[in-house]
Amino acid sequence: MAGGGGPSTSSNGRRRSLDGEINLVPFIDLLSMCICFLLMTAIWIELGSIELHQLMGTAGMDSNHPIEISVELGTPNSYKVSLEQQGRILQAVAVTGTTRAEAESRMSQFLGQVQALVQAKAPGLALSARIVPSTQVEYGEMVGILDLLKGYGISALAVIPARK
Amino acid sequence: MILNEPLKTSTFTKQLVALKHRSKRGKRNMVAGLMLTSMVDMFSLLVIFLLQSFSNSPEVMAISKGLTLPAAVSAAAPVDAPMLTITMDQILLDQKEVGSSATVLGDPMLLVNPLQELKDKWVKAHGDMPFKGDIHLQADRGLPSSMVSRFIGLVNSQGYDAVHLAVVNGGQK
Repeated sequence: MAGGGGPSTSSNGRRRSLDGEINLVPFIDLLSMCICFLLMTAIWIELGSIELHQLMGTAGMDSNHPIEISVELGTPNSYKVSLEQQGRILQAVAVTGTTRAEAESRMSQFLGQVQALVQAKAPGLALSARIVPSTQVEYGEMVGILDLLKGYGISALAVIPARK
Repeated sequence: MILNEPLKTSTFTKQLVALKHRSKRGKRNMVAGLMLTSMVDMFSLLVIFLLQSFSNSPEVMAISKGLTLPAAVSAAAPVDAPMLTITMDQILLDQKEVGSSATVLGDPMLLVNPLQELKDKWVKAHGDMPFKGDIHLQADRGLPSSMVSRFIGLVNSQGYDAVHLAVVNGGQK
């Protein structure tokens, strides 16, 4: 019967084997090239972004975030941090450290205390924060502070543009 | 001197002779075949894995040459938005040079005009949708924070109020 599974017979009567071998070498070449291409075009540095919600023009304070943390960058590893409610300063501290890691650690402690205080007095109240930059402080350090604030769940972050 | 020495069979030759004798005795085939099927399987799996990991990766940002981004731990995934790059010596908007930082801050219209064009294009493309105001900002971590903040103020003035600061996820601070 045509299309049967048995070995076919050639014109000279000899039986031909149906176990044909696929030539794997070009297939391996192609796969190797694919792997090389994918590895070379891969992006090994994972990038992310920190979103700022800037207040526009004459817009007033966000009513959803009545309590605001203001971080004024002065000199490297030295910040003036204040907790404000509708422009009124509730608490102000100076955070300093000999190294950036030390300053950030102290800042983290302060933020932890603020978070605990807010949760005790008004649970569920979201905080906002604004950064006042300085010519002496590098952008990398400012992003470090923003990262710290975001780590404490403060998503409404803003940077006050410097005048000169 | 060398020619005067009697010819000595080396170890390798001895081994070859021994192998020849053994193959004659035992009729063993000395041509070993590689198992290519498992190698092809492995390659195929690697290609599938790499393609899969690429297709799952979020929006990709290109880092400009000579730019060291700051690191952050709590960063979100980047979004599809125009890119403003601030390096030590030049300002780029979507990889097109606008000028140096001093010239752009001296004459903000150099940046304001292309920003306005991008905004108009977005509004035209999205019809009735309100402008989201998303923009990415890539700045060198060694730049003064006050200078970067001035550029943030500049983009804000053109309606870009959601500024996404590009960072390296979990990198060295």
